Amino acid sequence: MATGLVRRALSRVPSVSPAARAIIYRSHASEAEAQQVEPKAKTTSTPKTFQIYRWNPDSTQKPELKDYDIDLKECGPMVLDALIKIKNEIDPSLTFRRSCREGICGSCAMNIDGRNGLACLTKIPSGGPTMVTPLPHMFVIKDLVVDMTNFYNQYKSIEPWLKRKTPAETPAKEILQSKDDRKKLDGMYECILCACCSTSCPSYWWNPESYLGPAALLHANRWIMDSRDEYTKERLDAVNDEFKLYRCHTILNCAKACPKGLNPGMQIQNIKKLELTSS
Amino acid sequence: MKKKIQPKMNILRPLSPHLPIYKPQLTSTFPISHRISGAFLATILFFFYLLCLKIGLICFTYENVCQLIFYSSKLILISVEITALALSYHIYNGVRHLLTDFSGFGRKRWK
Repeated sequence: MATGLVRRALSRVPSVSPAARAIIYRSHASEAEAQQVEPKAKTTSTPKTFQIYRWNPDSTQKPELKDYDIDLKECGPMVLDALIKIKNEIDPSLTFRRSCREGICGSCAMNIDGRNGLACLTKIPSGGPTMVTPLPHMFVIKDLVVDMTNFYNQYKSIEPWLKRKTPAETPAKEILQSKDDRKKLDGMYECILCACCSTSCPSYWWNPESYLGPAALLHANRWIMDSRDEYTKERLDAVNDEFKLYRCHTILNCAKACPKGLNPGMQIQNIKKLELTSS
Repeated sequence: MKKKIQPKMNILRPLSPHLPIYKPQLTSTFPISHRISGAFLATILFFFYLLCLKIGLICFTYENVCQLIFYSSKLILISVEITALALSYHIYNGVRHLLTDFSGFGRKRWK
């Protein structure tokens, strides 16, 4: 009602200068704004509980699952964002590996809600408490960091480099490869060695030292199928072992767990097929 | 020259949880139930072989044997059903396994 009176008063006075009218209008506008109700008065927060595996080698306590509550409205969408937020704001002693935050380095591989995956690529699941544990059946160094030396040694043991008996056709130049031969490597070269597949395989859990695991065998197949590599027979013979290759019972948990969408089980079947037909 | 003595790691590292926490998936439940049904069928077969081929009809002259067969007669129906379930699952899964294993032989992908 007051605003209407002010407007009528202004229209009845035509001699008021435009500058003065602007000042009156501006004060009128701020008065109306002051009467507006603040829409941000009640901020809703979405609470989410994370149950994270904690173990400190310097303390004598047994490993346990600790609860952490965060507000999802102030956090990024991925589990890695939540872990970083917990480390920054709640508990700075939380230890985990991370690097690229975009799913290419493979450092943040862990078990989220019972499934292996990369924390930077796994969205925070909605609903009840989410359980975050390290990669299954690996020795824990601290909290979510596991000992990967056995995994890396197995990768080293398949000799993941180009081996040739004859020198290149044109010396000091690339060894040529046709497009079809290069296509055979698709689905294997993209592996980032995150260990999600090997640590999801129950066969690898029960025989971690003798069975090579899906990741190492995927890379073994990558070098066996490479047309430029000339040690194919020797590579096949090196893997042709009761334990190194044939502990695989095609459980195929590895294909389900791979965060890059690769299928190590299929590559292992390829090696088994080659073993059957070549030797 | 003084040698630095490395402090021994007294605390053994724990193993991260595996079976209790890993979510059972289709890919993992098929092979383990194949193995369990196979073991179950093997024991059933073994007991049937002992019972039917080895013992002989002389066992029915013993009172305990007749009592055992009478009192366990109610269980036979349910155990036959369970055996049939195990057998059918084992056969279906075995055939599926063979088909998926040899599905790649038609294509020309290998060197």
